[in-house]
Amino acid sequence: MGDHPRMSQFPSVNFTSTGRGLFSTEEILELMRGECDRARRYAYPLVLLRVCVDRLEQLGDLYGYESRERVLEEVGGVLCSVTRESDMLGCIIDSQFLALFPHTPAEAGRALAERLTQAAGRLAFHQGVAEVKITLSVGIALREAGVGAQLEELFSESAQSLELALAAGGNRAEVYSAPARSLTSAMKAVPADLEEIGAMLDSMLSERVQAMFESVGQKVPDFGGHEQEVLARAVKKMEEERELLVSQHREEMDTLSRRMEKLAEGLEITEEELRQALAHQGFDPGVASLYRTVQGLGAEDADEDLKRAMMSKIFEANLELKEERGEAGQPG
Amino acid sequence: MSQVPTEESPESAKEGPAEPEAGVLYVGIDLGTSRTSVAASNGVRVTLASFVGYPKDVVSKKLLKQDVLYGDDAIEHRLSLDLYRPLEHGVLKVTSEVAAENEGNLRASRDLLVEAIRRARPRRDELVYAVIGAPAQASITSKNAIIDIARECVDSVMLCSEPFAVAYGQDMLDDVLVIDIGAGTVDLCRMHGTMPEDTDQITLETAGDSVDANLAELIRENHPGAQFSEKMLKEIKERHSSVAEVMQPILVTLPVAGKPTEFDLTAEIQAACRSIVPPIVDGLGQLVGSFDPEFQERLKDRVLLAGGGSQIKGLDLAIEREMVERLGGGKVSRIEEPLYGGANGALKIAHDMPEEFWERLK
Ligand SMILES: Nc1ncnc2c1ncn2[C@@H]1O[C@H](COP(=O)(O)OP(=O)(O)OP(=O)(O)O)[C@@H](O)[C@H]1O
Ligand SMILES: [Mg+2]
Repeated sequence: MGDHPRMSQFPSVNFTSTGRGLFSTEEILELMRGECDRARRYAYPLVLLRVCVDRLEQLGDLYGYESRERVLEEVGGVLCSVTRESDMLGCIIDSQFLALFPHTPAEAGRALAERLTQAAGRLAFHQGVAEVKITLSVGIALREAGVGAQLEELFSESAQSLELALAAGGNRAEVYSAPARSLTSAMKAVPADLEEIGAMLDSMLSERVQAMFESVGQKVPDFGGHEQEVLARAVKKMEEERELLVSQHREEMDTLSRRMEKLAEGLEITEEELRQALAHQGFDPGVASLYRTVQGLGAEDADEDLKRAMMSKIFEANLELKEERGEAGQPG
Repeated sequence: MSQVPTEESPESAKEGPAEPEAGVLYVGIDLGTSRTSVAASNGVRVTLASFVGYPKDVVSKKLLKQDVLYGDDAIEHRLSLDLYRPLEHGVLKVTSEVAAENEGNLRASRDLLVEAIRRARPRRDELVYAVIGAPAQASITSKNAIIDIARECVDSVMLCSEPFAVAYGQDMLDDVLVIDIGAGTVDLCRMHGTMPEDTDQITLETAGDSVDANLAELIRENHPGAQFSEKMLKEIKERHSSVAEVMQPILVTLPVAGKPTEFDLTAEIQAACRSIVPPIVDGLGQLVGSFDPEFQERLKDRVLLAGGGSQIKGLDLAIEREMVERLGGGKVSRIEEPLYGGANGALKIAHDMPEEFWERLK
C-alpha cells in the first residue's frame, strides 16, 4: 500500500455542518470521486461509512439547535480519532457523515464501524441537569480490491445499509452487500412492511367478511379470529379452480391453434393450386348467384297469376321445341 | 329483400333430388346480330359484339396468342382472322346451301354463346339456367340450333320472344307495343294478357344495319370523293344519330384521296335515321288495327322503345308525331337501359320460371 499515493489526513475532512473548512463539501466530494477512480485504477479496496446520530431530530427539538450542532461536532471528533490510523475523506451532508477510507479492506471497514458505534457510547452530553446519551448508526459500503466503484454507487449502497441499521433499531452498523443487491435488500426490507400490510389486510378482511354477511341479511358467524385461514382456504380453492380452468382453456387454445394452423396450411395449398390453375387455364372461380334456391314466382309478385300463365306458355313452347328435336338431341 | 341470399330451408331440402344442391345462376341472354348481352343473377352484366374470329394461319395464331377472339377484339384484328358474325337478321346463319359456311357459323355461334356465359362468371358448383331472347319470327330450325348450342354450356335453357322479354323486364305485361330496334331487325310486338303469338309480332329489316347502308348511299351520292369504312360510318352514326327537326350541324372529317376533309353530314344522317320511322309506324298501324278496338287507344299510348337503335335522338318524338298523323295518336317511351333491355327481361323470366319447368327441359 505504501507505494500508492497517500493523502494527508485532516485537510481532507470537513465535518462542519456549515461546510466551512479547508475544503468545501463539494471539493471533498470531488476528492472522493478521484479516490474512487484511483481505487479502480490501482485495484485497491475501499470502504465508505455513512454515519448518522440516532434520533438527532428529536435531540434538536428537545434541547435546541446548538445542542444538535455540538453533538455533530463531537461525533465528528470521535470519527476522526477512531480512524486516526487510516486515510479518510469526510464530509457532512444532511446531518449524515460520509467518510471514505481508501486502502481499506472489508474486514477493516467493519471493525472501523464497530469501533465508531462503541466510541459514541462513551460520549456524554450534559444539558442542564440531564445527561443525554448518544448512539450512532452506520451504513457500510464496501469494495474489495479490484472490484471498483463509482462514488454514487457507494453513496446509495451506504444509504441502504444505513436504512437497514436504522430499521433494526439503530445503534449498530450494517453492511449492504452489493452483489445480490436487489434480492437481499428486498428480503431484508420486506418483513417490517409485510407485517404492517398483513395487519391492515386482516382488519380489512374481517370488515369485508362482516359486510358480506350483513349484505345478505345474515348474522356474522364467529370465525374466532380465523378469518384469515377461512379466507386462505377460500382463496386456495378459487386458485385451484382457476388453475383448472386456465389449463382447460389452454388445452382448448392449443387444439384450436393447431387446427387453425392446419386450416391455414390447407388454405395456402388451395390458394396456390387455385393460383396455378388460374394461371394455366384462365380459370375463374366465378361470382355466386344472389339466389341460393330456385325462386319462381311468389304470392308477393304483382300480377302473379298472369305471370304464371306467361311462364307456362313459354315453357310449353319450349317443350314443343324439345319434342320436335326429339330424344336424339338430348345428351345423357 | 327476398333477394338476399338464404340458406336452403330444411323443408325444401326434403323435396328430394329435384332440389339443386348448389345455388342456381339465372342468366338472361340477348343474342343479337350486332351485340350479345348477358345479365345474370350474380349481378354480372356484360355485353360483347357478336363477332367471333379464328386466326387465319399459324403466324396470326402465334401473334394473337389465342385460338378464338371475341367481340371488339375480333373486330380489331379482323385482318388476321376468319371473322364470323354468326347471327343474321337475328337468326343463326345455319341454313346456307354451303355446308362449310353453316359449320363455321355454327361453331362461331357456339363459341360466342359459351364465351357470353363464361363472362357471366358462373361458379362451378352452380346450376346455370338460361333464358335466351330470340327474334320473334325466328324459324324453328334456327331456334333449335340455338337451343342445341346452349345446352352444351348450361344446365337448362329456354327461348323466349325478344320483345316479350323487353316488356316483361319493364313489368308492362298488358296492352303494350314493344319496338326493339337492333342492328339486323326491328321487332314489333303486341302484348295482351298471355304470350304473344305470331300474329302479335312483326319483324322489320329496316334496322341499324339498314341505317348504315342508307347513310353510306347518301354520302356516296352527295360527297363522291369521301372515303370511309363500314366501321367508321357506324361510329359516326352512333355518335351523331338524330331525327330531331332542328339540330347542330354535324361536321365530320373524312379523307378525300387520303387528305382529311371536313364534311357537313347533317342532312345525310338525319335522312338515314328517319328512314326507319315510316316502316315502324306501318307495323304499329298493323298491330293496332288488328287489335280489339276497345283497347286500341290504350295500346297506342303504351309504346316501348328498346334496343341500340332506340338511342337515336328524338326518335320517340318522331314516331309519336308520325303515329299522330297516321294513326290519330300515340305515346312512345324509351326504356332506361336500351342495351340491356332484352337481357334484363330474360333474366327476370328465368327467375320467375318455376323450378319444375327448368327440370323438365334439362
Ligand atoms: N347511339 C346510337 N344511335 C343510333 N344507333 C345506335 C346507337 N348505338 C347503337 N346503335 C345501333 O344499334 C344497333 C344495335 O342495337 P342492338 O345492340 O340492340 O342490336 P342487336 O340486338 O344486336 O340486333 P338484333 O336485335 O337485330 O339482333 C346497331 O345498328 C348500332 O349501330
Ligand atoms: Mg336485339
